[in-house]
Amino acid sequence: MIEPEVDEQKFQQAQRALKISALQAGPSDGDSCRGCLYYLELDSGLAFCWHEKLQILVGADWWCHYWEMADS
Amino acid sequence: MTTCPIAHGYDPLDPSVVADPYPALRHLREEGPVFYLSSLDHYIVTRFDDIEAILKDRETWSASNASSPLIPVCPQAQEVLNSGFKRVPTLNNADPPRHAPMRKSVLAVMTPRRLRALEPVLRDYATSLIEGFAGKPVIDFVQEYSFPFPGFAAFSLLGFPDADTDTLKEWSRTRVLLTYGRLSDEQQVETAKDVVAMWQYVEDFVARRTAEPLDDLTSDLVRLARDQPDQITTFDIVNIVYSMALAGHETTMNTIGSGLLALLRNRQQWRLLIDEPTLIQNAVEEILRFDGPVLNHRRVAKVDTSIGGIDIQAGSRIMMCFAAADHDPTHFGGDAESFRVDRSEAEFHLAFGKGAHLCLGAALGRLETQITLELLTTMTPDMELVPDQELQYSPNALFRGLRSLLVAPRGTGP
Repeated sequence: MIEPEVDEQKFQQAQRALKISALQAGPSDGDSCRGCLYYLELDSGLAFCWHEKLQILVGADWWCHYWEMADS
Repeated sequence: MTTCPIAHGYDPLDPSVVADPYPALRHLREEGPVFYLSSLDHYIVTRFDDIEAILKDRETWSASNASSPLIPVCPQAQEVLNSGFKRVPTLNNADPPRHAPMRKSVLAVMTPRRLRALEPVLRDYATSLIEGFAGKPVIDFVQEYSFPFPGFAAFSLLGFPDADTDTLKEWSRTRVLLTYGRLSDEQQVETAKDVVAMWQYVEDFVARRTAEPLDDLTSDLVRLARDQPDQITTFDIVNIVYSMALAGHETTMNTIGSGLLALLRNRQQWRLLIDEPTLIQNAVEEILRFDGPVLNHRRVAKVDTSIGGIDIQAGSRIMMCFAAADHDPTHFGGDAESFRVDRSEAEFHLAFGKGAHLCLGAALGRLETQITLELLTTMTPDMELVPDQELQYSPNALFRGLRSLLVAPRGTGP
């Protein structure tokens, strides 16, 4: 049986993003990733966050302290 | 659950602690997670994990005391404040539901576009300040650079006219000491007069921008209030502008002064930045971590809770000691007390807070510090500290800032 290869670098990047962003799996004061400038796939419940500090998959109902209001 | 130990003999306003708080904080952090400080009636929290958890938990902790005087002001000064200082909880000291609309309003107008537009203006101004060092064997870096530059940046962003800058700076000079220091009654009254004067200035300024909006952040807030009156009012804008004028000024001034001191004391790190300018961005984070501008930040318990197994009753006030947390070896390793511009974990610091109250001026503060390091390392690479100077810090328990820093610039050419 072949052991799955662990991508240590990807793991570290994700951990770093979590650590500096205060990312939480829920909204804050009614704000969530879906309404954020860096969440571009509005129809998706899970999408890539384009904020330079994150760049990881996030949930539409999540929130982090880099949240910025999307252009209306 | 256990009874909270008491921080015997620790006084954050003691001159020796103000001069160098880190040895005492290391001792406290190693001894236990939480201590009660009877002289100020606050619990002190020193460990990174505990502080991070508090910052992220708004169900348990209120920010309402974040800007309250550490020691009650004297009745005469309070009378002066009552005559015209109308600040209400706004950003750093607001809880839900008031906090979100304030924060959203500032986020909506403090855009990357506005910061990008400001950058060349800041770079020109900083360059002119450094060019002013020319021909002087010794300068006070605080007076000639780290005091004027962040003031200019904050006031430019908000749109305050250049002609008012000196007056605004004078009003701001002792503001921090009224809230977080121990001033005499006479000094409190004088400072309270400055607070009222600055408040009235901001009220008048917002009224002018309301009548005739221009291209600045205050005008953007005025437009936002017109478009979304349910989100912010003109009174909110006065509070926001007043808060930003003070917060942006003091903290970045401290960061830049402490940063240059750390670099010149650690000459090898200074040389590293000159040789490897790509490290400057990380150096800014390391400066914020190593000797950040905010020593302590405060919260009050909304419910009975515990920190690190220590009982804390509802209504208790705590000081989250960012300076201790950012030297916590469990997060920054065994050399956490060392200054290393290439430290990979530097940006994990708590200097700007964390969570919903993350400092809204963080991007601007970083930009100003980065510009400063870029210019100093190219224009004054041979800069040196004046030896044997006695460093004086602002005597307060919340902000860590040098009052003067004597350096020999040794040339200001490229």
